[in-house]
Amino acid sequence: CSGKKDDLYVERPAEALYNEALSLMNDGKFRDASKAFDEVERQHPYSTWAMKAQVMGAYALYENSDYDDANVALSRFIDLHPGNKDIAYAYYLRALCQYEQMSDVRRDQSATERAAEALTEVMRRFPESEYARDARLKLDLTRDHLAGREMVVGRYYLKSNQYLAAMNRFRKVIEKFDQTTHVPEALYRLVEINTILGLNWEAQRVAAILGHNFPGSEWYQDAYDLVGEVVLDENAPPPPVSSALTPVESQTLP
Amino acid sequence: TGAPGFPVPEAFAQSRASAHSGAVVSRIIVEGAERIEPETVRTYMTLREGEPYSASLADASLKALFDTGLFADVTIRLEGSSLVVKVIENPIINQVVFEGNKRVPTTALEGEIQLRPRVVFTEWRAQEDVQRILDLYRRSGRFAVSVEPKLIKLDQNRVDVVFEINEGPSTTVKGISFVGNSRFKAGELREVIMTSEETWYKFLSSTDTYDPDRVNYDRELLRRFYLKRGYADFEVRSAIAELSPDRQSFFITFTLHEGERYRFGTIEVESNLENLDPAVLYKMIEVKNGDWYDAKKVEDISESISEEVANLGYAFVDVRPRVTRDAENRVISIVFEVNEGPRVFVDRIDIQGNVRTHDEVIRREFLIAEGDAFNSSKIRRSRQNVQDLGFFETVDVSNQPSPAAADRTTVVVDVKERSTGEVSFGIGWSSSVGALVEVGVRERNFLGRGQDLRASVSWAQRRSQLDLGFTEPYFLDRKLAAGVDAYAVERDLQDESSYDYRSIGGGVRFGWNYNSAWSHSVRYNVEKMKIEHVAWDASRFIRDQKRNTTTSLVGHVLTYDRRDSRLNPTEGYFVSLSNDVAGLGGTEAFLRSDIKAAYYLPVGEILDWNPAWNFNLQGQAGYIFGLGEDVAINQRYFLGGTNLRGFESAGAGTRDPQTEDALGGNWIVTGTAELGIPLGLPEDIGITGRLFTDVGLSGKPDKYDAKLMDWDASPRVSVGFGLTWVSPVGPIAVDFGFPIMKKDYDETETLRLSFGSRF
Amino acid sequence: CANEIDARGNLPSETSVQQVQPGVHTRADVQALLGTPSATALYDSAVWYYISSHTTQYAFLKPEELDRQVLIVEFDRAGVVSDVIRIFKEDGEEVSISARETPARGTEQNVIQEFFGNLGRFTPSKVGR
Repeated sequence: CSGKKDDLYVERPAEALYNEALSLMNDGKFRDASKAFDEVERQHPYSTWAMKAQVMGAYALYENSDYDDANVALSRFIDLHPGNKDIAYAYYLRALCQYEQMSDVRRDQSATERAAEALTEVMRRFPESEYARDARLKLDLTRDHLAGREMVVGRYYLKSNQYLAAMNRFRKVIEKFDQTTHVPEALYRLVEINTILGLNWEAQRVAAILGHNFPGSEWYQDAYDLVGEVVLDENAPPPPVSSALTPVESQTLP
Repeated sequence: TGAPGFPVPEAFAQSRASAHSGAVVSRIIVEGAERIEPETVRTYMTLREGEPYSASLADASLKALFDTGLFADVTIRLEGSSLVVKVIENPIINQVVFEGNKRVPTTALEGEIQLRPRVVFTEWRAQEDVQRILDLYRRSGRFAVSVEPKLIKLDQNRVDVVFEINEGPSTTVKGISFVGNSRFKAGELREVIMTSEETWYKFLSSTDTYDPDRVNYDRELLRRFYLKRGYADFEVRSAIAELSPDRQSFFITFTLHEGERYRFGTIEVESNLENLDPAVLYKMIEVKNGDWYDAKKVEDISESISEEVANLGYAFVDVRPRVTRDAENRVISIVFEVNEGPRVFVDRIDIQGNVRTHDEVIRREFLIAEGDAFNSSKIRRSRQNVQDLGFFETVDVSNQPSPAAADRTTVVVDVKERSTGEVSFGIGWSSSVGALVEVGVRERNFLGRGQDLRASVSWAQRRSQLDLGFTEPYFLDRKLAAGVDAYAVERDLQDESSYDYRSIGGGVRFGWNYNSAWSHSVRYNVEKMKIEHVAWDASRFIRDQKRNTTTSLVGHVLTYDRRDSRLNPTEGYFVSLSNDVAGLGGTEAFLRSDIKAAYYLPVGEILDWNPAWNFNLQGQAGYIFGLGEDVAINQRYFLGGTNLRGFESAGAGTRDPQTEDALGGNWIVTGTAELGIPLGLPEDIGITGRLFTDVGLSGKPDKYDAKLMDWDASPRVSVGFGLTWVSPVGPIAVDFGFPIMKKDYDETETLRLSFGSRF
Repeated sequence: CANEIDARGNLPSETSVQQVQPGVHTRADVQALLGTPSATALYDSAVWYYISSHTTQYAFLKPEELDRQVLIVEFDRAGVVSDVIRIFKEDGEEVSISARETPARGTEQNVIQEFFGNLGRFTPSKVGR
């Protein structure tokens, strides 16, 4: 490992070590900072500095984008000190480690799924903490990402005229990710598919739901061009307006 | 202190209700906790302040605290109304050291054990680690090992852990014997199994150590060996390994029950599928009545029948061989029952692990889409398609029952990507172009879109070349690979034909498959070439060649490929025919046809020898025909070098006797037979050996003049042997070719070597 | 050489479709006879679809839908089959798919980042750590 092996074993007071690590952090030398914080804990496992150092060490790793190592360090801290005052921050930082590793919608989304789980846990365990608010904002984005993946796959199947496969993918977006920005397009795609299949009144019904919930959207305009003026015959039940679909301010946790 | 910050576990809620009304615990005092916060101790305890004391709760808390593994000892006692919890914390590990480990490196040991610096030390974890170290040694064949964990106390309740290891002598397999093998001699059976006896010349071998898993695998190998030869009742009754008293050698004894050898009886096909006539499926049966019974063939036939039925549009196929055994006259007859499989549909295909590759690049290789019927043979072919992309180390396809409904399953595709981007730098030497430096950038999965981008520059003593290439495998979202190439070459052919040439060219190509075997590609290519530095004493026939030529040609290649893999084929064959027509513009006009064929036979597998035995036969023939003019020298065929080992490049074709310049010819036929041979070296060294014989003959150029040119249609033949070592630097190949039939004016060359760069 | 014909989707066998009796069978009966539907109408499980088709794809030509069948099973309020309708490819319309896509927010990697983003990813030292 790094050259300066010998001074690692010099026993130094906890506070001095901690401050040295802190200054390294401020200079942006995150890798060295995380090593220095580890040193605090190794030499003085019983000092109050040790616990602070564990969290700060993880934060240094996070800043150095060593997300996996930060994740491991945080999990160890959470197991060792469930009662610690910084525990909410530890859960939140662990969620951020996953969040940073999200890749774009055409690629593997397991990091996105883990991020969604971790953010939901932050909100469940510490609903009043200041981290919960930011966690929910980020949760909306991870949901949008997961919906984005479903859309990518749906469009692929539509493009290679696998209409059944495409239909089920777009339905999943409407049923499971009804808060995301992809719902209008998903509804429109169903109008397209139902028209291709010859299920014309189903196409009209979906167009009605689209128009009712997203009247201004371009997708409704396209649906209109496709299906024409949506004539709701009287005896048909009104298009179901799912509470989840209408853009609703108050937000209940899934 | 207030109620705990977390939701209270249910278990606690019930037990509180049942506690009898003991003294109420006003305060919990934690003694002896240095590193662990008192608050943490309280959170793990099921007894809370302000609640009544009960013995069962105290025990539960005691157990909970021990389970955390943080404490060496915990005692709880009631003093008045406060509960005193006295803990002795387990020490923290400062560092872990191994002593006495020679055979197994420290890093391997560290990877195996749980104890780490800054982790809590507990007695049972230490014992577990001792066991892990012993297992590690056993796997590498050393059974006489002893491991002793020692603790060195440090201040602040920290310890250093030292594992003292005494490796002892290595234990090898001294003898393997068989009981009950009347049909095959022990020597033959030893060739079949992996475990081998320790012998002096196999000092590098790793299979002469005793490994229980390998012995189990040996039982399977023996079973397959016998079943392939018709011994349907065969079983390995036991495989016992005895350790010698001095614990240095193992003796393994396999007790076998061979049973009788069976032949195939009648073989039929029955179909329970709506309007599927079984007669159509008989062509799938390769064995006939009277052949020796072979269990593997039965499996293969079931597989090919189910694939054929699926191709006929039946979604759910389940083929079961019904075996009836006639012990007296030792005949097994089989009825292949074709039933409707369970009606299960694919709910979703979830792709994961594709950190770089786009989802579509993998999904488009699948023969089934979501909502289709679940068909295992199509899924197997789809998995092979994804594997053949070459972007992934592993492609695991598994299916899990889907929550949606009972007759739904989710197919999970888990890929592990490998680096498809290569920034390669190669130094090499080869007989045809001399010393060589090559710099290349290759990305086979450009931007994760499955596109292939290639750029390479190479400087060699006798050739420098620039190559650029781009391929989109799914052009216009169709199964149509489209590519564009550009290249520039400077070649020094002074040795061969006393001239140099410089050329620059480019082209467009399109390729597609008709089905899994037939594929086709067409291309348009234009190339400007300049011949220069023609030596003053060069052959007259070279001096009168046109200096500047432009070749604009259209060509196609039709291929029939039945090999088991394109990368390194071991079985099957392929034939490809290509025709090029030059003359749509440009200065050259000719018609060229080439045919290539190769046949691969996994001899080792078929005869159950070492799999390194493999045989391949390759052939090539080419013919070029000038359209209204002579064929220029650089379009002609040259025999010798890579296409005919044992001869210099262009060393075996037409030659101008005075100047010894090679003049090439208008047709060529070459063939090579190669036999891969095992060298007895362990796999991981990566050295493979081969014996080969090359045959080649080539034709005359236009305007052939017997008086001024040496040429002979008689074939040139060479034999030789070669080695390839896949070294960390790159593949190193050396061939020793010895011409046995040649003309006196041919130029021979025994050693051909190339290393370090990707030829 | 005949190219492969692929059976797509969920094609219940003719005999089992005949057995479905409107006015008698409930959802459970239809599930038993025809299996789980390929899809149901959006927000409305009173209409079940069994969608199936045969496609083929030759050389570099686009995959072609030879035929398509949508079997529609409608249930009334009481959950009993009210109608069984069958429509085919001819009943559908050709629609040109809209090329617009909702942008996916979040980490859109630019080209350079994508290309060089992973060169270091697979160095043995990183993977082996």
